[in-house]
Amino acid sequence: MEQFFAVLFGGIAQAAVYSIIAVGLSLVYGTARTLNFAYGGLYTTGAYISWVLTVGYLGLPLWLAVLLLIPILFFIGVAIERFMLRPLRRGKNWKVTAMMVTLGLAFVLDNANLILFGAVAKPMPAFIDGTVSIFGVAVSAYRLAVLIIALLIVAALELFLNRTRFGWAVRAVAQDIQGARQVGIDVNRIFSFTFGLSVVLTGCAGLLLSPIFLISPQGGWEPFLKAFVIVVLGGLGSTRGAVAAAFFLGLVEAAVVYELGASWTMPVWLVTLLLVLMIRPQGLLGRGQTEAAG
Amino acid sequence: MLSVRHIDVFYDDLHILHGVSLEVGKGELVGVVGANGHGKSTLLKAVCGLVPVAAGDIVYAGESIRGKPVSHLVARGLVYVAEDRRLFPDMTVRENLLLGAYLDRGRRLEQDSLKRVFDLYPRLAEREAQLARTLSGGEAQMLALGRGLMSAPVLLAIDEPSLGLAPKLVDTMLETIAELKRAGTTILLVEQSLGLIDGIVDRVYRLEEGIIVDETVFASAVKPAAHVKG
Amino acid sequence: MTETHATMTSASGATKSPARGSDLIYWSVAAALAVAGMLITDSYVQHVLILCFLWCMVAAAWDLTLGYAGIFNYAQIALFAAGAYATAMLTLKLGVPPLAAITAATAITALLGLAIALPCLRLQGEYVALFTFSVHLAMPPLIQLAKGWGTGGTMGLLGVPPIKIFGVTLGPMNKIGWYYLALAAAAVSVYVIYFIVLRSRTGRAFVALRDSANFARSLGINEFKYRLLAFTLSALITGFAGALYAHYTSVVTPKILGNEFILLAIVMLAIGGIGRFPGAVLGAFVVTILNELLRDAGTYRLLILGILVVLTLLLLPQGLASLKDRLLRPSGKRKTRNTGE
Repeated sequence: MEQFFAVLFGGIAQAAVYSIIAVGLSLVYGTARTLNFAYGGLYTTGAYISWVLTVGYLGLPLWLAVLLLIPILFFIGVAIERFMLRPLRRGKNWKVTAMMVTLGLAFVLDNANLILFGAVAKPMPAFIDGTVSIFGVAVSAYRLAVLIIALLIVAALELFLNRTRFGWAVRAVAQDIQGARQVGIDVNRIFSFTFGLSVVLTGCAGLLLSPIFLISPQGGWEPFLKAFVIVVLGGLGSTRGAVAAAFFLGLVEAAVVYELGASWTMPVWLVTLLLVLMIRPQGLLGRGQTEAAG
Repeated sequence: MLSVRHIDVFYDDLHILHGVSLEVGKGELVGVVGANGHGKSTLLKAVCGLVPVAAGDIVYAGESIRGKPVSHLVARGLVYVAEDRRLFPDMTVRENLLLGAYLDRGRRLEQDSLKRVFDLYPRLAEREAQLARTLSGGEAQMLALGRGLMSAPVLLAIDEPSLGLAPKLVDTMLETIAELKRAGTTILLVEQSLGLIDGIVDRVYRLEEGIIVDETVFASAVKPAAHVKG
Repeated sequence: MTETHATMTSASGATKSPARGSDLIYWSVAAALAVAGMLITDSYVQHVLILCFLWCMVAAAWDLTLGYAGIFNYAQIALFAAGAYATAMLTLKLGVPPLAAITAATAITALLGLAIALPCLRLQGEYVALFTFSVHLAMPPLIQLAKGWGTGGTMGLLGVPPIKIFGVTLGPMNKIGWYYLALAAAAVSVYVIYFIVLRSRTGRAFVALRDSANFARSLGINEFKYRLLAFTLSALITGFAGALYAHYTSVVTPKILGNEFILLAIVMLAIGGIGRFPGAVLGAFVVTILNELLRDAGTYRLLILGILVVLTLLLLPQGLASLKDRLLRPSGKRKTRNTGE
């Protein structure tokens, strides 16, 4: 029973981080209607950058590395949106070409990381060691910290989206692009911002999970796929749905791993995705499949 | 105030507007009528920066605005109200209105504008906390127009406000628009039939197959209010 | 600058089906390739060309769904793998003769395509992309789990038997034989796709559905039927190519479902240009050859290909095929018409 609780707790902590990744994916899709296939690659790249900043090369303290990481990731995201996605949006078939360019970028990142860092997984030290006792059960202190941090990030995002005018603008663009233009919102700037934000989210998630999963060049595809499933279940474009779905699926995953073993993880996620897409494509809280105008 | 000069507008390979010109003077309420499919909405969208103009020029308040981004135009008081409303469905009436005042221009007058809109449309005040997608057709049109007003417009471009509304609501809607003109807002109004608007417009252009075919001047029933300078 | 409409307009209009009368050119090229086959003696060059031909089929089939029918199908390589695995399992585990196995594999893949298409009917746009891409991602774990059924797991299946036609054994060493087989298969497949299907009413229905689903529906075009048709036909040809590939290389492993193959396919379409004949086919040739030339670059090869995808999409969004258009056609014609707003 104790072990089950520990696994469960680990699942919740992981789910919290997945929700961060999922929210990022959801935000970009909700506003720019773009599926960013390079998202997993960016997750890994974020982890590698933090590795380079800390134990890998520069040996900076973690807090400083995080302070540097965030603007670096944001800048990368804005650059990708500005120079790769925006030009494509002018063309016909932009949805296809945008997906293809992000897939191309994914492979560039994978292979660049492979060349730069090698195929051997890199470990990252956790900033907290040891265990903490919850309800008399020993759980990893790191996982607890991760859970708290992730929840704080999600809460901050909620505040941003609901209490700030710029956050409102992001939601407005997600709901009606032409309407957003009509009130004077610079839609391109919103696209750039959300993309930058999504890269920050996924990169930080990569950092948070790196002590647990290590960093490897191809390591981003699994969280990416999981984020997909979460976002589809929660509803593409609904950040709250993404968080709810993340926790639900995180728990399911923990249960599956506990009962059936880790090798069943991916198939279960995939079957879930297929089922959701077949039964209720708009997910729990999604808005359905209507395309945004413009 | 607004001068459209021989503009051509295309949609993919389709030539929709051919050398269209029109003028809107300050404080005027100018109408554009025409059957569906002849380019009325496109004309309005072109003026407001929502579709690209292939040739010609548009001058607003002395500035050439062709090719300028919509945010630039809104910041200068050129505001578009779409025929399909384009509200933010999962945001409340209040949030929709406040977003109308997104730019500094509107933000400064935000509370006054909000009060003004709620005075104009008490129904909206009642539904302040309701999500926009729960509104009826008439209420949605009110919200669309109200949101436009929140942007502190100098020139309001309104696209078929009567669309989908019951006749009684249409009358109220048009009366509100006339009221806005009286208060000094310049208005460019697109409608399907002349009969709807001939009582309130100063002039009307008729658009057929993407070409302006005539212009009629009316002794307008709507005169600016005494305290508004002409 | 104006954003909305600018994103929707295009400089050069709709898809390009081959012009009438270009059939002659097509078959001349095919004939020239046939003649060339007799003149080439370097078996490596033959090998590369065989790969080119097989990839042409995949690229063309993918172009059919992605470029013409406007379906965001990312399961193409999964279908290719299905064809390869099907024939390998049939011949190795059930002892089915190769020709029959290939035929069966083609049919099986077509059915698989149909099965994938069915759930996609209810999905729009990006959801189709998600779903089909998930199918692609799902295959390696499924292959691993189904090891007991003879999929060979991560090791794959080795020793797929060669095809025997008219007393000729077409094994991996018989480059000349494979050259002509692959050329024939590709020439026919590409012809069927671009010259028969896409020029027919069916083809026009595909494009109509892609460009304006509402308008097409109002014309009475049955969207479901045509989507299924596009998927199935595409799957059929891809499965055929996959089956041939299996017998040519005699090895089938999950590597087919790895990053490399799908990246190659994407680069082909990106470089060649989708929805414009002969874009995809051109892309297949260019990329296959490029891929071989880059073999010496080792780990950099995939990186370069990835960069190539990104650059091509940004600099030449309509692919190589659009270059030809820009050279041959002056500025586009303008039509004057009433239109709904």
